[in-house]
Amino acid sequence: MSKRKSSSIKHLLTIVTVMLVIAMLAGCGGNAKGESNNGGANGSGTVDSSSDQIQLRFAWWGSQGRHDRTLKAIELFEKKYPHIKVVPEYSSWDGYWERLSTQVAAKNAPDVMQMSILYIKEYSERNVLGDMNPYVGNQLGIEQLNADVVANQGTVDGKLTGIPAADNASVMLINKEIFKQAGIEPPAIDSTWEELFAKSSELKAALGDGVYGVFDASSSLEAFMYYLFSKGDSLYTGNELGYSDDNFRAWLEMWEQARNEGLATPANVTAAALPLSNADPNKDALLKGQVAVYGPTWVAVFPAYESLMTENVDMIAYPYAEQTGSVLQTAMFFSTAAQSKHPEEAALLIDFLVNSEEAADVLETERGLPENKSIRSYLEPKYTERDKRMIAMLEHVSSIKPSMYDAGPKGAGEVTSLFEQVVQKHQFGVATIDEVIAEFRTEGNKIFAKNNNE
Amino acid sequence: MKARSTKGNQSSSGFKLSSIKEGYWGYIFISPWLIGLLVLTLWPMLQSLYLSLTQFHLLESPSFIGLGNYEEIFNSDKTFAQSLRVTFIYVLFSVPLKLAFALLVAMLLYQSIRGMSLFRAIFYLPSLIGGSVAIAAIWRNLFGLDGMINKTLSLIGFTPVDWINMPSTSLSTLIALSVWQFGSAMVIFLAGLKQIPKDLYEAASVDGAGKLRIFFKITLPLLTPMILFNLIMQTINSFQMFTQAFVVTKGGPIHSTFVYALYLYEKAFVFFDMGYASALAWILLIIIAVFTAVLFATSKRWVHYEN
Repeated sequence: MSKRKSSSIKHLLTIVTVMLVIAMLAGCGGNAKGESNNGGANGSGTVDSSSDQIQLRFAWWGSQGRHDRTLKAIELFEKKYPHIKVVPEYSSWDGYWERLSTQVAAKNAPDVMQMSILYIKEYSERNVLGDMNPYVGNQLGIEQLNADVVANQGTVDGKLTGIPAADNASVMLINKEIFKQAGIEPPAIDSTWEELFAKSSELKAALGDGVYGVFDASSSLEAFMYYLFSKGDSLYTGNELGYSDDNFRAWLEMWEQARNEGLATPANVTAAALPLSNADPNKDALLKGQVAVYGPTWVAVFPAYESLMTENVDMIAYPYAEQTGSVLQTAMFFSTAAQSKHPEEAALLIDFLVNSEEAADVLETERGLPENKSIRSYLEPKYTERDKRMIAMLEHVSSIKPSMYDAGPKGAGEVTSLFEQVVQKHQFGVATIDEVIAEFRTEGNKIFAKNNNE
Repeated sequence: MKARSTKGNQSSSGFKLSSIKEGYWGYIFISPWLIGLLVLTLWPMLQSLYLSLTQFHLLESPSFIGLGNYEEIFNSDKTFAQSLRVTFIYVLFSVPLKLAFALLVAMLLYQSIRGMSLFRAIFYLPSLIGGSVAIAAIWRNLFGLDGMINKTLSLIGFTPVDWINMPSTSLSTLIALSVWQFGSAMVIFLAGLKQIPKDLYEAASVDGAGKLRIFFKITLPLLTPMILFNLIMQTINSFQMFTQAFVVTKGGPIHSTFVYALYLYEKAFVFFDMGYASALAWILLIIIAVFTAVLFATSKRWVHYEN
């Protein structure tokens, strides 16, 4: 009797256990699915309700302001095209690339994604992004966009993989407050490095220690790239490092002298503020009032500084030598996934974001100065003082024969961080200029060789 | 195994049957954990072992290159050497210092004073949040150029030091942070101290042994099992240290705090070089396994169990 009872309890236990395990597995499965489709935004229930509705996933990075505006634009798009449902996936810049690359590896890339100049070449060459040429003139209009940018930066290996959304230019930021305190005129919009260091020397004489004229940009590969442009040289040649070592030497010597004379930030102050343009008041040397000239950074980050420093911040062009070092660049692109099942609808969404006045009404200039000329003039009455300053700066850079930003061969991200490490050794005085020049070229080319060996 | 089963046959076949049944029940009961282990740990580990033999950029498919990653790591990767050096220094200093500090605090909290349980809770509290990003961020501000530490130092006439951003002091700052997170080791020591029979202390003091002598002849030898446990756990944890370096120093300046886990993370999730990162992960696993094995092997000589 008791044996029977215990065996029936055992049976019950088996059933309960099996059910628990099944429930757990089901739970896991459901979760994973929900996460990959949804990105923590609104529900996926609508997918089942109407089978003829097409689902389009759209991913972007940005701040809360951009999220709010973009979500509103999506609402308008869905109203205009009721057969398309857009599932938003948004995050900050940092998380965006980790997530996107993981999705790509899982063959689960979003249909439409915001793309950066830093990665468009890499993503295109690795066949992640779809060619939008077939949809141009049908779903997608590009006649109002800058044809040069579309052809040079949006097109990779003959494929149109990125539709430029907004323009950008490299600039230096200056803290006008510091110059006012010292009673010194801020530097001219087009200055040379020598002129900036001369201003720095005047500041030092007026204000003493604790304030530095110029932020030490020697370990920024971008800064070095612009410097090379200003000398008529270039950072890359094909899939390798280009430039002449003499220019690299001149760059390092210039900064070494500036540091020694106290005209640029010392190594530890520089290290504390890296990476450049993170706009964190606790770390940012410009915001803290520690440096007067800071950069290079982008016109697009100006609003972040302006909102904290109001009229005390201004932009000047990247210093010139034989020509200007400032570059023009597309602030961001919209791209489609090569594996998207709905490339036509994806093109339709991009067209709406870039070309429609409805979208422009809510997006305004949050992504930067719109690339679309007619949208630019449409928005003109709405421009704020800040917008006008940004536009004036962009127009100034456009007028001084800028170079085009070069995102470099595959592996450029790793080389950028290598440059920071190697040059930082020189900033801290643990490596000589010769060692830095030699190490960067060998190690940098090694990275490029590994990434471009097919 | 064989001997046991023949023995089972000899005694009775019913016993064998029920023992199999019992095993089967055991597996059912641990199945949630077992499935987790197989699906979420073992399977990814095997995958990463395979991936470590491939060149695998996350955006492309893996291509098999044999031991290529390992060859590159050992032959020409300066960053690997640097990160390994930093990690070894970190482990070598942080583990013993942390254990010594934990033992010291445990001894203090072992005293019987009124309200001691409150003190114990207060001292243990930081450890509950110790490994967190928030604590690391606070540490960054404390040791920053305008932080509390420098403010205090300048009050008593020292010149401020940029602890976090000077290569000479940055790693020490992280070691100090790890020593400060002594709580879990301290609790284990405290439990160990409570197990030491009081009559041993009484006998020793009757025989005229001083406090130091009692500590080295009674307390320390009887604590050695706890020391071994803490030593192994802390060594494993320290080799994998990531959060503190990531938040406080970002591995800088000039890679002076670029610990191994940070390098692994950078390769995997910043440059998406997953094959290479997998190889790095397996090397770390082997290093930790070797250290643990060595600690266990030497433990026979210095760990005393009461019976």
